[in-house]
Amino acid sequence: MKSALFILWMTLVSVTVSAQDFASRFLENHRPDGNLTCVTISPKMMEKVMDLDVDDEGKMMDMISKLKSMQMLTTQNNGHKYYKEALKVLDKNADRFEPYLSFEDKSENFQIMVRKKRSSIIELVMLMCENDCFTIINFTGNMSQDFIARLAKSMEPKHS
Amino acid sequence: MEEQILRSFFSQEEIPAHLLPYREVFVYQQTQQEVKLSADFDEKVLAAIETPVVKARHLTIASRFMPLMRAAAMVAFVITLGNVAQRSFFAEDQLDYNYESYKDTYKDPQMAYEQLSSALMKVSEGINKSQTQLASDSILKAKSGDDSISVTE
Repeated sequence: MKSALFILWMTLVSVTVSAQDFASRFLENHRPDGNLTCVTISPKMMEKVMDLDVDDEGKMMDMISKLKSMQMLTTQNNGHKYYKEALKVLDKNADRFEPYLSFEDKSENFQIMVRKKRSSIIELVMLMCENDCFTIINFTGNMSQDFIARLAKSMEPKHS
Repeated sequence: MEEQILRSFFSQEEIPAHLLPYREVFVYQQTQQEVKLSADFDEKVLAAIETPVVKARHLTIASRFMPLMRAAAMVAFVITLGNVAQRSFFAEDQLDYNYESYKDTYKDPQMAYEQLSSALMKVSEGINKSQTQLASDSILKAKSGDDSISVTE
């Protein structure tokens, strides 16, 4: 009986650990950390957001409809340290995420990674270090290359 | 001598009736003298009081590592079971995340919408900046390639 319960417990632990997104994995290594602020939008809240009557010509709502959840971690201190640690977590999960785009200059660093399943992108992670501020934006959902192209276009500077 | 005479007297079949009550005493003594220990009595007693002999058992390498192999097999079994459970729990959906552990930051959907919009804008900005840098890098590479060609020419 005891061994059966132990097996069941180990099974549940194994399922729970493997079913975490990037932000949760990162947060697990930094608990408790008063510097980090976490914003979570669950699938249930996402459904409520979809029920909102927003006048944005449907552009933003169309994007949000492809998302299932969002987690955003931010800190205003030691941004570079957290950025490096996030890259380490990424290295540990290299088989899970593939690099998509990156940007680097004197004051800013971006890393965008995606997790794919079959043909769709099920997780999009952006690590951002600007001056000493660090942010992780983590979306899960049924995204695609087209979604990312449209997302980029929505903020593209308009040329006259 | 007198006892011997009495025993042989009482062992007779015909005894005067007034002496019959004493007969049992002498017959009992006679029968008790015939009672002896069994042949295996000594063996039994010695076996009961002697300490058991501990025999050395020869352990092979396989038997020594058996607990370790059992533990490894158990871990492999648990991992397999975990994967199977995960696949079956989330089979209908490609999204294999444990959303039950998510705790919403906002109760107001409008606030959540604003946060989502802001996050999407940031990602959009990140994608654009990355693509611009990628494009300018490739132009620079192409230009430096052209220069090297012209130098060699």
